[in-house]
Amino acid sequence: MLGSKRKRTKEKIVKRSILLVCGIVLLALIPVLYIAGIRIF
Amino acid sequence: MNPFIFTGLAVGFAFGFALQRGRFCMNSAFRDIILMKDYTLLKAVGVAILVEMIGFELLSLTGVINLNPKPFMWGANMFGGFIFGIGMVLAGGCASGITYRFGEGMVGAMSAVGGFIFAGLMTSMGILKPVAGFFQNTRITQPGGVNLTLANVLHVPHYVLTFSIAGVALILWAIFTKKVQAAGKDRDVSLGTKIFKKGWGWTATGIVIGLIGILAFYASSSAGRNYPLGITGGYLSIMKSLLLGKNFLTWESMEIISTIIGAFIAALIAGEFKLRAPAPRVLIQTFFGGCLMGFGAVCQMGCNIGHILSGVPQLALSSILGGTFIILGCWLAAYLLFIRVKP
Amino acid sequence: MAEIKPDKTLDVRGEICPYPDVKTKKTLKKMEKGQILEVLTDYPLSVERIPRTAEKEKHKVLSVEKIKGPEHRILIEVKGGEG
Repeated sequence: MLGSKRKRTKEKIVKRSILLVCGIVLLALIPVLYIAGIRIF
Repeated sequence: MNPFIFTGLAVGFAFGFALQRGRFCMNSAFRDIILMKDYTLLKAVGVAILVEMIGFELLSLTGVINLNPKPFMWGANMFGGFIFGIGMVLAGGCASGITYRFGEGMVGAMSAVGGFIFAGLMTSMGILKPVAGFFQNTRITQPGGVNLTLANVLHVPHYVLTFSIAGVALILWAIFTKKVQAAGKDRDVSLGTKIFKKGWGWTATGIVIGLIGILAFYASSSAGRNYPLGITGGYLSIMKSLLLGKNFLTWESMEIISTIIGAFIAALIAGEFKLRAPAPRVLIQTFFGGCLMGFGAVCQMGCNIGHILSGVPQLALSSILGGTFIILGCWLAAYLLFIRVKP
Repeated sequence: MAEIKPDKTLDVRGEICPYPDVKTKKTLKKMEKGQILEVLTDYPLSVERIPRTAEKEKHKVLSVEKIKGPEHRILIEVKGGEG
């Protein structure tokens, strides 16, 4: 039972990291694209 | 004839399958907020919109598709949306809800679809057409006829808005994520069972439907219809072919037929298919609700799928306004029907 | 598991969304703590939603079992999740 709780916490950390990384990547893409001159409205 | 039309069959099948497995219904999603304080389906809708927001933007930036927001017609978006919202509560489901439940064998949903098509045709080419026209006579576009998006209205590049909204949403999701999986007993269940026999959780549902939406945009644009998932157009296109002898081989008609089939197959495999009917009084209610939905959808040129699922991720102003009023109509009807205590 | 005899049975088979849930909620409200309600529904969304919302109201979901096809039986103990 303790093993499954530890596994769930680890999965939660993995899920959080993936979401966090994706979010940060998207936000980082904004200045990158802007500097690259893409101004599509 | 463009062979890409037949991709509508595959996309529709996947869509219908996912709708049934995920119980994806926006009527429930919005109504349950006030009726049961349950946010499960709302989260699924949110995830789907989020996934599509990112996907559509990437497809657009790489030149694979051109974004195609629906025209902003504030009168039609508000009135049509509101009427649609009321209709879906009476019908017991949104456009995708009644479609997938048609496939599940629910006669109440079939009756709703009947009303949807009936009033939809009346509005598209019958006596309700001038009524819709009156509300549609409120169109505002950018110079050159470009349809309004949050981006062109705020004079900000499109990707700046979508990526900042999506990026922030993902970070907030990361911060506020609560539990990962259900209780211990679920972990021994095989993946096959989880996909085909049990209902899907909101995260999986949202992601799958979002991905299907992205695929839909690509496939449909290859077939000449530059838009993601839709429901209304498909029903109307089939009925017009049957009644007027027009060519019904469009991407959307392929899509809607296989959406119902996909839902049917999904229900069959899960052992959830059964022809079942509510009381006759309820069948009349759902037919009437379907009628309101049909009018509302044709009036604002899109149902909850066309606007909320497919339009909001494109930041279409019409869809944002129309979607808001669908929710308001839904809340009013739900309040009057279920919350207000009758003497 | 021993056969649990419900104090009341609510048969909402054939009902459209959201009547299974709304009727269940109303019935639970009118029952006494400790009583058992049996809900019969064939609407998949309600099969998942009724237990979810019942537990939020501090009722205890004793079991959710499939009868045939989409038909399910849900046993709920009124306010069984309290104290």
